[in-house]
Amino acid sequence: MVTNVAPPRWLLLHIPLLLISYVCLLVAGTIGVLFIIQERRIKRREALAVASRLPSLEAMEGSIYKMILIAFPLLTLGILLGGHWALLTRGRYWGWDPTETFSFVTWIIYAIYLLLRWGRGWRGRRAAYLALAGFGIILLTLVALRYFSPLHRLGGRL
Amino acid sequence: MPFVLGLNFRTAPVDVRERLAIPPNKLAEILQEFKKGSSSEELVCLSTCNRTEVYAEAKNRVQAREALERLLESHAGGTGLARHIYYHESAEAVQHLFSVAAGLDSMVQGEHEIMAQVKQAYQTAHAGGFTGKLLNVLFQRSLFVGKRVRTETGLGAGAASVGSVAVGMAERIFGSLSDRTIMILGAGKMAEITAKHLLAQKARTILVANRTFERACELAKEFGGTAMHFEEGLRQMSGVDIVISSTAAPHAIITPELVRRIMEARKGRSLFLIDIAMPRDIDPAVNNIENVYLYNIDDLEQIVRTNQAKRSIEAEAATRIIQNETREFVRWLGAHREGLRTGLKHADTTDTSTNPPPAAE
Repeated sequence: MVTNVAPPRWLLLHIPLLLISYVCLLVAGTIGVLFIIQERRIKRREALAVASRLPSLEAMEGSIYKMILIAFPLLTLGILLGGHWALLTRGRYWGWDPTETFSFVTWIIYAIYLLLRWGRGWRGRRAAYLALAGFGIILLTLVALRYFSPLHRLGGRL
Repeated sequence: MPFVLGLNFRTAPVDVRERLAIPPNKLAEILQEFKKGSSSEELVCLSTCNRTEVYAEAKNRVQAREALERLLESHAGGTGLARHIYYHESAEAVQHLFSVAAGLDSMVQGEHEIMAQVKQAYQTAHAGGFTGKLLNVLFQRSLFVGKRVRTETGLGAGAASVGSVAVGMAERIFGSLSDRTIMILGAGKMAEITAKHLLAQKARTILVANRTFERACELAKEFGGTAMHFEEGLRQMSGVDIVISSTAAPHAIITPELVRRIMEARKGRSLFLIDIAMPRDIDPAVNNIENVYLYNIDDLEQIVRTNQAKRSIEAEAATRIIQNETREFVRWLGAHREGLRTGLKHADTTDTSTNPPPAAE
């Protein structure tokens, strides 16, 4: 085990990278909720759909995609840096600590979103549900960060 | 106290309105003529295709009214105008202008254009120096009330015809329709063409497919689109965003299998199908496919009816706002007059136009 070596400063990028990525993904998830509401109205032929001031389905779908497209590389890099940090301080790259687990699941979900969209043209309702699922997992990650992770004590001492 | 004199689409048929309509470039000239002829102190003239109204303030109201009536009549170039003309004064005139600005008095309730027209009418009169303290505040207030009614009620939200509902839905799905491709499948009856027209006006690429090729050509010419044979149309459908179907086929020609194939080629991009044929051209089960939105003529009409019902509820809410605002305005006007009469020395230096009454609530 490598002990008490102060990690190099560039590893601190781990934190802002993930924060920015989370903000983008939370925005994507929020638009996802609006998309699902409006899409359902249009599908069910509700008069409310025309009166609504929400943007068009296509515009909302495009924003969700763009947000995820920005967030995904940041998320990937942030997680890799986190792993490197753990390697230096704990002597292991990955330890399935709750935060690490949730991050992994988040990464998988958005990877699936992008693969399906690029490969099979997954858009619309199902894609919005994926964005929403990622949104939920991120919320869980933040809770885990705050309360359950021995490594990441957000708001406490590091 | 202000008064208003004029006619609108309710009181006068279109030929009378036409004769009285004042083109914008002549407005200043007419205002000058009216002011001289009626010895009014303040004047605003609102002339659109649905109404011509003169708002005025005068010391001798009875005389000014008669003079204006005569002037309108001579302007229209004939007699018999009197039975079309309405007249309101004081609070009623205020309420009338507020209703007009809010779009409550329009042919299509809640339409937005009237706000701009009221503003334009006011600005022209103001620029020519025809307005004073009273009409300045009144017209600025009316624009505020119009805006308030539009933000606080749903008046004007929601489309009122099958065509506009179809366009509205298409815009809710795709956003701007300017770079979309529309296919008109089959060339149905005139009544159904409303929807086609509205959509065709907005879209860039229009394809017309019909069993009789000649008819397809005719329609394509009308819309500036491309004509094709019916089968060719079905083949090209994967490149189309909006399909309007009105063939005379006795059974469904667009099946779920066909649409599933199309959607695979479209890589999940949305497809909006409008079925205005009777009997229907498109299998209703098509609506269950992801990213496909199918509306038939009944669905569209149902939405039109819902919107109309909603409009009358919203109109009541709008009327309440207008009544409150009118009361508020009249109270303010009374207080203002009172203030002038009690004779504060610098009363005439206070500029009322910068001091409108406070908003209700």
